Amino acid sequence: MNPPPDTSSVADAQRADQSPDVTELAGQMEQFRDCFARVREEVGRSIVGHRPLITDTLVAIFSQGHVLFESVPGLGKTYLVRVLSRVLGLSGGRIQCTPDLMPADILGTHILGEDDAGHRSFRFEQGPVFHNVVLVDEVNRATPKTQAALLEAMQERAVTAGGRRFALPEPFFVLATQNPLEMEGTYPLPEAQLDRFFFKLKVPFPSADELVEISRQTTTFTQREPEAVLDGPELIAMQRMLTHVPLADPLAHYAAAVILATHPGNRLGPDPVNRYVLYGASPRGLQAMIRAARVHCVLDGRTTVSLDDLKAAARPALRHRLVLNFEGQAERIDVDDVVGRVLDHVPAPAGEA
Amino acid sequence: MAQSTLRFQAVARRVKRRLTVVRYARRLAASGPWVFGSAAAVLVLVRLLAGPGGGELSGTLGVGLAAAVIAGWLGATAVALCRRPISERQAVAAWGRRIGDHEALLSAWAYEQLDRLTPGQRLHLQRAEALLDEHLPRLASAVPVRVGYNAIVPPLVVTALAWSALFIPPPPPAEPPLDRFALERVAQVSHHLDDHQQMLDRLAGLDPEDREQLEELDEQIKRTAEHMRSLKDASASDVLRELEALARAAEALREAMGDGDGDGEPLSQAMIEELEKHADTADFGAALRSENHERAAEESERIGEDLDPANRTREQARRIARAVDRAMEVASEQDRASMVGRQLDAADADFKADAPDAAGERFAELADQLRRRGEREQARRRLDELAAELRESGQHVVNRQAGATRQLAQTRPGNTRSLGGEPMPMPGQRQGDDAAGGESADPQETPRRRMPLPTPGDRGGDEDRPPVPGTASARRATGPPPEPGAAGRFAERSDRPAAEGPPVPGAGGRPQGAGEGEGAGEGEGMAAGAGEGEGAGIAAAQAGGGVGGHEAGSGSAALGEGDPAERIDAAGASAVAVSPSGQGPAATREIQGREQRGAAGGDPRQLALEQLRAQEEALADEPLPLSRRQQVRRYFTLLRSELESTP
Repeated sequence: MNPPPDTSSVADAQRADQSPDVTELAGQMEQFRDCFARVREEVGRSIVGHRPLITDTLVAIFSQGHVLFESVPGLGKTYLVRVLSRVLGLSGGRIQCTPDLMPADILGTHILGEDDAGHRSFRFEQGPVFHNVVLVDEVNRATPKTQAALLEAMQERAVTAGGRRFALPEPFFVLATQNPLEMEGTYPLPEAQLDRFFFKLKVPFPSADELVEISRQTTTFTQREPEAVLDGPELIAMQRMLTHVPLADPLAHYAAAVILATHPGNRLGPDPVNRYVLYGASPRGLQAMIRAARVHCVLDGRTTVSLDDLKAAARPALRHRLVLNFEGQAERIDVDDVVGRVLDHVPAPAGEA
Repeated sequence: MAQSTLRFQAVARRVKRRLTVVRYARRLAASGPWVFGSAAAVLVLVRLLAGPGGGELSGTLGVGLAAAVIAGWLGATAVALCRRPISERQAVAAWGRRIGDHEALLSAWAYEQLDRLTPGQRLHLQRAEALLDEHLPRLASAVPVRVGYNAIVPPLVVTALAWSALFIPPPPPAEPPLDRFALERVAQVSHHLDDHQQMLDRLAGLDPEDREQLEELDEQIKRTAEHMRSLKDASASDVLRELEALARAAEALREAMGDGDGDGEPLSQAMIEELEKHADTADFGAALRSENHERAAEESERIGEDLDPANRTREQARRIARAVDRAMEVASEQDRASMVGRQLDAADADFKADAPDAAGERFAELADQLRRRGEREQARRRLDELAAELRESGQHVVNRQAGATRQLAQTRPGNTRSLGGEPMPMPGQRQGDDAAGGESADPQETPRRRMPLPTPGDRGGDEDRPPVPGTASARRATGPPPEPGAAGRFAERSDRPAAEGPPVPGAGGRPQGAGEGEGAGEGEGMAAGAGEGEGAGIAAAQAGGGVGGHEAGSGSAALGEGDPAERIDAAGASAVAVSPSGQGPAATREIQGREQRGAAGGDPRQLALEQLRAQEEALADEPLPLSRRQQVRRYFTLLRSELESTP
């Protein structure tokens, strides 16, 4: 288990959060673009393909969000998380969920210990969640009780045990995976807990060329170890910088209209929503859209969020927040298609002009 | 920030206006083909419904309906646009979308309206300013007002259809040239233009400026006369145009003459009445009342002569001085400012200064002034008549058989003398009806003047021309016989000289004996002509002496002198008077039948009813439109019912 991160660096980052002036902000944006590119480049050296996946994962991380990966086993999810933690200079932990996994197994527990003087006392033994980047593998195999404990830690960024509250290290990300195929003996995450995830990313199967490249890189005796590009305080500073990226009211109204349009019965919603959706996106979905859009905005070299940024963030941010009804599930409706129809249907700020 | 606010909002408004125009044009282009198709259909439908020969009407109606359709369409589109206007936000967003700014301008427009800005918003505003500077000059190309194919072709098609031969009526056929007879009449008119020219030369009382204009008119008449003599292929319109130009020139000269000395306002009633009260100034006052300047001049001259030391008696001078003094006492400021008032005021002062000689000279001077005014008035009247006669001559050339209505319309106010007025013999004036031409065969025709158009057998009518023997008597033979005992019903007032007064068919005769058709100035007095043995037609005419000096108690008229009194027709008088209305062509007849005799001893109500009946009979002879006739009959019916119901 990696040691907890140095909190002094976090304090430095917080001090750096004082409202920057315009020139400073412009410089931070430029620096962010550079860092993001370097991180993506470094991750891409270890992960074959999956460039959009890497980008979306980084967007979620810079937006202080947790990511739920959905894919069949063996596509490199775990490796991706490990590489990310190395490149970002963060400590990483892994939790392999099983039905018998208990909350104490991931959060930690009080154990009776004895010091050198022979005095016995309970001390809190931190679980694997006490890392900057935590990989929760096959989260849907854990029992709801364990899922709830994990998801509470994700939301609160703290663990309460034995009447004491233990703050999780910053930055803190949970990258969970789930297998969409082997559903037997699993405990699908409830909607309220799915909502805690910033993004839900689908890990695509590699193409033939990518498979060939994977075979080349992974069948050697020694593998290249990724290098750290950032560290925790830098990441936090960038996260805070992104909160200064403005969003104009007309676009905020557009994003809100998109969220409303995902709810059946709303006049803004298209027909597929009314037909196949049981419940629409929550306000957390709106937050996720806007925060992710800010990252896209800065990456694109702009100074304010645009409509395209919001649309780019909409699918990963909303796809796990829309609950299909029975008809939608029966007809195997792709939620991404529904979100796409919503984006097309909601009028842009320009309207008919 | 205020600068940015002003800038982005101003740009937003500008883009909004442009987008509104673009949107309007786009909607017009979208719906234009349908609307213009409908307009074209309306055009064709109206034309088809109008049938052959309805080109002009259908063209006007169709174009009007089509224009209404198009106007309604334009208005409805504008209203629809106004009901859903483009907001500034939409305008900026749409512009940004067209230039691909990723909502940078829209965001900047939104940020600049905030009171406090974050660093990120300030940073964006800085960037957006640069973006605005880059793209604002290219606004027109980014938001073009395109006029598409649909917006151009349909209007062209409809316009071409509207102006096509289908709706444009064929041009009227060329006016045919005057025929031989019309050319003869034109030649006659041209000869009479020479007469007019001579008449104009005799006009007196003109200022040098007026004389100069008169010479120009003279020259114009001369040119026109020569031109009309040389006409060969001219049309009736050409002739009318020539004569109308002359008529307008005459009217212009008349207007230019004005009233000469500018103070032609009549004296007040009180002053005139005061003058009429005194024997020595009564005739003078009467002449002033009747605005007979010539007569007033004579009276003024007479008063001046009475004040001449050679003729003057002390008593007479005292009476005149008293009359003038009393008159000036009641004179108003306007009276004193007038020409007559000034002279009388001066004479009054002379009398008071015991200088009757000077007062006499004032009256002599006043006589000259009045005479000059009379001449000018006469000149204006003659010009007025000249214009009327020129127009009538043109009509005569075009359509010789003029209807009664048209003839009535040619009656001019100057054709009838006012009481005591001087006769105005006109060159070329007829003395009677044109029996050969048959124009005035209608007994209802109002006596009037017109330019004589001598035809074979016709009499010239000009007093300077020798009459054709026998023509006048022949005319009277053709007129309808007078009613027994009612002869002279249509006689004109006898204050007109016989030379100019047109005889009335069946009137029974004229004062100087019809048949000779000559002799001016003989006609004051009783008209006792006899018409071909149909009864004793006696036209009772009013004496031309006017009203001066006839007031009871004034005693101004010397025995055996002055104007003759009106004669009484013992057999029952009938009189017809044509008086000017001053409101355009009109005719009024005054009918006094024998029933009026003994009115003093009869029942007034019965007398009024009989008068109504007489007037209704006169109405029957009037060439009135049917609607007007019925209206007047209702008026009479109402009067009669009121009279009959009166106890």
